[in-house]
Amino acid sequence: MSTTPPRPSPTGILPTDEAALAGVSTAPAADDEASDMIDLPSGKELNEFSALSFATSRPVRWIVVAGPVGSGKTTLLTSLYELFQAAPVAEYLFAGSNTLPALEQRCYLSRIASEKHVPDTQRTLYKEDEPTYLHLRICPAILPRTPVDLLFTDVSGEMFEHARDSTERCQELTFLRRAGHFLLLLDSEKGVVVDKRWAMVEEGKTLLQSCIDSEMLASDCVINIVWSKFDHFVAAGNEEPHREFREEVVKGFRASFQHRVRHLIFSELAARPTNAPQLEFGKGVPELIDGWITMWPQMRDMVLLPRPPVGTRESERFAIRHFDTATS
Amino acid sequence: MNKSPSHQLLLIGLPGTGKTSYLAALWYMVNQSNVDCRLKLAKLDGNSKYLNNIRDAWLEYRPVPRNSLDSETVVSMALEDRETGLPLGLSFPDLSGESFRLQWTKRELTSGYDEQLRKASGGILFVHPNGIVKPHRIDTLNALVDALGVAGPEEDVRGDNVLLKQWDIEKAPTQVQLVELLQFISNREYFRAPFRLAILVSAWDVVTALHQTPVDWVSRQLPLLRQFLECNEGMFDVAFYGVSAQGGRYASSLFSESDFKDTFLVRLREKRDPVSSWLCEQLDEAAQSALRENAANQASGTLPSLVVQNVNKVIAKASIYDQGRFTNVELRSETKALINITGLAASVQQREETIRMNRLLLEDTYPSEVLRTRQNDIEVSALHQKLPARRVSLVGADIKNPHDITEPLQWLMR
Repeated sequence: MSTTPPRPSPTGILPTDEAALAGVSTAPAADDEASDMIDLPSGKELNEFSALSFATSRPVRWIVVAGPVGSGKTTLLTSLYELFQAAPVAEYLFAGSNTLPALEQRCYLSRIASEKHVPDTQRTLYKEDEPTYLHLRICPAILPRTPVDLLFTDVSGEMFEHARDSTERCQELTFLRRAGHFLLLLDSEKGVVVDKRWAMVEEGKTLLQSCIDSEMLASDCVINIVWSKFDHFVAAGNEEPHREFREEVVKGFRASFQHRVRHLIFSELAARPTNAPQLEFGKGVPELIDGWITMWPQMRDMVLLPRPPVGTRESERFAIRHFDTATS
Repeated sequence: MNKSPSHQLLLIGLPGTGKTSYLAALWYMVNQSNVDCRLKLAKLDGNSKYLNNIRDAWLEYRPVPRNSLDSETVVSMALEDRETGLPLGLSFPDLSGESFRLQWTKRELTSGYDEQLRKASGGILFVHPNGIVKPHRIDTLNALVDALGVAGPEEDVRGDNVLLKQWDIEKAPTQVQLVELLQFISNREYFRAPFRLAILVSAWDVVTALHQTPVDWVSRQLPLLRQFLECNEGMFDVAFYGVSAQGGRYASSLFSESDFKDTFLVRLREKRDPVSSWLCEQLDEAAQSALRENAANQASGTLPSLVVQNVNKVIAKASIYDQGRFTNVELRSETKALINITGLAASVQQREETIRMNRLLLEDTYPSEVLRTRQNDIEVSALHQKLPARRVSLVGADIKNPHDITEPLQWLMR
């Protein structure tokens, strides 16, 4: 077994002992010859501790992808990763990831290797108070190629549904405080159904209101209202009434929130446009990436303070809350 | 005492990417005094049995035996620069491709590899054009099917998230695995940037028709890896090469459908001789069923591919020779010679010989039913016409001699 202690690497891969400390599982040794083997980072999704540990070693941009169950949060992340598999995206290059196996696993149902005929995304399981994160490092295609580390929340819709219904539950989502971009996904699949669409919009508005009223979102956080699965609007035809509906929604969001947040923007996204094949795969993703790089709150590119001491589970939670409050 | 500068280089690559073939050709080339190879062997140093074995296989147009998982062979060469006369010590840990795959799948590396990595001043990353797993998406396939106007697959009717196959980390795209291997290297606490890395596309003769440079080929076939290297040029100083170390494809001892005549199936079905009886039992249920259907349909000229696949599995698995089974078969001398060789303790090195022996045994058993020609025969005879030193060819930026297999090494040691 190696006796040399790992350190944060140039690529930022979380060293194994850090990962172990942070609660990230590493593959167990295969057999009795375990003493000859050195554990490598597991590459799984990062938990709260490992994400925070990572953020102490380098500037990280935290991006919260929020929305109810099935609104396309994970599909957005997998499409982003899939686009880089083929080519640079929006003038940005793939520079690395600490969570490659986790990203691969999430892409599986959209790959022919799964032997499925229709692409799909596996649902993110609900784990109470256990947010997880996926990591991507990208860098501009033009010089100077300064890399940017993006950490995306990969949490189930249930967690946001609870936060919508209770400001207390919302305050438990400490990752919200770190968000430089808060993406609120509005499901266009419901947007084209007359008796579903306004309830869907209200769900989104209530979630955003809960996050703001709980003072969990920083004042300079960019709030991006994203029409996910936009291919449903394209496929539905009858364009005018749908456009009017979306305009009404935008007006409603502006009326409710524009005076309360510094940046309120709107985007259209068809991460996997199955219903409108004329749209390119990942439609809207390049624009989002561009926003994460160019539209970033000042002073957010900072390294977090060293991690607080790790104690029992309850005290760990307290320390993280305290830590987040101190750094927000 | 004047000690020669010493370099340790890593040979990195997933299974079957041509690491050992490169090493075999290199060992031959540096040993020749009459070839255009800038680096030459200064003196034999230590045990060169392994290098001699793989070189012999290379010279005999046999697949160079792959390194086994449990061996971490370190090969050393005391070389000399023909132009400057300077001595150079060079050593490579020749790890199996499987050990690199295990880094990705099991998330661990051997302490031996770690030690070699610590000492390494650079490395060669091998990629083989035929072994690339790509991240093919379902939507891309469906669009292609639509564009071609052919009937697509039926819609899934098994409900949401019903997996046909579980996700298998081992089947992850090649470019993702390679990026992770490089991240593992740069993650070690002793890593010093920039790490010189020669990217070698093996079997370059397979892709020459595309008229691409190695860097273009990597950009198109492994775009994620290319982006990663571009972004991390401060960590990895990279040069791209295309290498044909074998010079072409070798004859394959495995069967193709056209190697069999219809009568082979008849003999297999009737099981009138011990070999047919035994061989038929070795087929899996699907192949046996295909065999029965073939008989029922009285089909001629169509050998079920399942049967061919099964026969290939049988001859690739282990020796099929048994004295009693082949007692009535008239074996040719070549077959008998191979039986004597492969009768020794089995090893990875003998696997290819075993397949060849099994093929000959079946050819001898079915002289009228199985053809004795081999796949790639034309290519192989063209290969036989070349001088060994001319089998090697190399492309890449700043290449001075397209037959000098040591060019990537010269760049790494510059």
